[in-house]
Amino acid sequence: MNKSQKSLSQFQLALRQMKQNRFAVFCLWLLGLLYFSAIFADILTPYSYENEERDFAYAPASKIHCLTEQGQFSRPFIYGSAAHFDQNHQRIYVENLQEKYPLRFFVKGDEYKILGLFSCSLRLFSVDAPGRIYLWGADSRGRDLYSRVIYGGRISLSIGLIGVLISYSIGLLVGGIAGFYGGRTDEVLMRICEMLMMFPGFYLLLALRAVVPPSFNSVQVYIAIVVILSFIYWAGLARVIRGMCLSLREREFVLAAKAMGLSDLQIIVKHILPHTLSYSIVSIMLSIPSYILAESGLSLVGLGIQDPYASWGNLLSESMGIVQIRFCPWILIPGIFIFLTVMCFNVVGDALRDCLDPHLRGEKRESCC
Amino acid sequence: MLLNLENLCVRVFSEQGEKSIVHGVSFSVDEQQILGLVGGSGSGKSTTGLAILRLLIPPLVVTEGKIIFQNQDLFALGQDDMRRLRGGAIAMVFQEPLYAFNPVFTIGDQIDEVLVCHTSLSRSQRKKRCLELLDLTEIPDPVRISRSYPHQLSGGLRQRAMMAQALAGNPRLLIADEPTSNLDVTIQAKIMNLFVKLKKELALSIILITHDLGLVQHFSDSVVVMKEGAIVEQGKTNEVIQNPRHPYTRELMRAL
Repeated sequence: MNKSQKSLSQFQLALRQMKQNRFAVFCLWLLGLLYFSAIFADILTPYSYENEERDFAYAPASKIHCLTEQGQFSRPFIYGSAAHFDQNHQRIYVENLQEKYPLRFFVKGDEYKILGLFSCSLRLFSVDAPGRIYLWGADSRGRDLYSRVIYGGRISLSIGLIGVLISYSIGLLVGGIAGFYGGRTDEVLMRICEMLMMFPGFYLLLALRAVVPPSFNSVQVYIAIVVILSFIYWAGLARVIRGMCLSLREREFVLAAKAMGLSDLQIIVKHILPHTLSYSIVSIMLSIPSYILAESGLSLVGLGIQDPYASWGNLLSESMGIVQIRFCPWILIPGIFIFLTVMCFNVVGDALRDCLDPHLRGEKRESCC
Repeated sequence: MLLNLENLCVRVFSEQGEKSIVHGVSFSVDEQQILGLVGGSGSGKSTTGLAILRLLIPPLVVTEGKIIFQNQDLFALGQDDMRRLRGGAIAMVFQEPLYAFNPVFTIGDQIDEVLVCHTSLSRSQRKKRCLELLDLTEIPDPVRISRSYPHQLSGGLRQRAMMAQALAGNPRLLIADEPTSNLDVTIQAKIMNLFVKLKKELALSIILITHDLGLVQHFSDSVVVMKEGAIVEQGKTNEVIQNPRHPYTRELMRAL
């Protein structure tokens, strides 16, 4: 081992290993992009999620032109369009070459609040009314699918993080307590976990969702869904953490911590749980997708986030008929986002597992040299 | 008298039945005294040490006896009072600080933890106190050491850091469980001299648990010799060393 290798800390070693996995780095950037777009959805989209124009129901994606009909270059623009019905009573949108709407950047649009604080109406791009720009087409009520997908990311992406945060707090604590005390405490807590895990997840989800009062507003429904998801998923983690704590509590530093006069809870939280961190980080990454999928599933069947609020799941619920899929395939775009997000979390989680485990790290390096 | 043990009995309960580990141990520690608790492996000396802090984990159970520390009966204390005592008035130094320190935190963090627990100092005061403690145990470059992880230090430094941590709660009694067994002879002597210095400067009493009668001979004021869970001989160090009455003590003497 040469000098430069020696001076690297565990974190640096892990980082180096991570960087070698190009695909994982790509996925990490993609995730970053998705979260970035969700946070700044207001600026990045031309319309708010509830801005509708019924005349443009199921309008296809607007074509952005750079050439005028005379064949000259111009700034990007779109033609206005209007719906006609063909002989099958199917809507078809025909571009009206007389109406031109140039694409404008940083224009005033629907109002919003930056990070919930300052009122603002700046949008990255849009076209002048009455023209409407549909980057990825429109839904049944003529709302811009692009805007709704980006806004939908706010709910779909945050539900995974917040859900994981809550259920891991519960899981770590319950697992830690069960593992640390052992005996009867352990028995009781683990039987409760097993009872929870016994139910098929999705049915438990549906049943719990049914308990939520219908009078709840969207924010309350959102919180309810997060809580329900966390409630379902903490048990599996608690079992694993409990197993790790059973062996960790025998370590001498636990006895030493007791001899220092720390309380049991302090010992669990400050001395035992940090040792499960490398497992937890990987496990968190790998379990976020299940929250996203569960929310999508719930919203898809109409029990999750309610219209007009957008989540990837309830956007997809529009595509539940053959007519929509056949004639408006862009309705499936939210599905691509769900797929991408889930894939990214899995790839990054796998890569993290490889690079956080010092044993695996050594093996890989030997095999590649 | 700082600490007084009366007829301490510890038994282990298991499915195979119960067995006595420590039977009827009585001794006392005076203020500013180093007491050497000597015995072979399995003689119950470490168990006795842990029993004083009420740190025995089932199946080990104290079945009989009384421990009086500063005129209070330790077995009559509530959990919270007992916790305040641990790391506070009675602190423990372990045999292998590599295992007794939590590997994922720095030395400074772990000393700070005791200060949070047992003092009401502010953050900056704690930081200063931490460096003072490291300095007190004659650690060179306390700032660097406080930022190091346990595995980055040598055995001697780790033991000093462990002592600094034990001193953080201003203890009256230090229980040192084989504090020098994993160190080489020269460092052993330095650590023991440090114990003696701390005893004088901080008016500490120390229970030195060891299997090495040589250490006890040089550094302790009185000695308790244990064998198979019972005391075979106790008294002033000079008297015991010069005139060992029990055959086991003589055997230990010959091993020097």
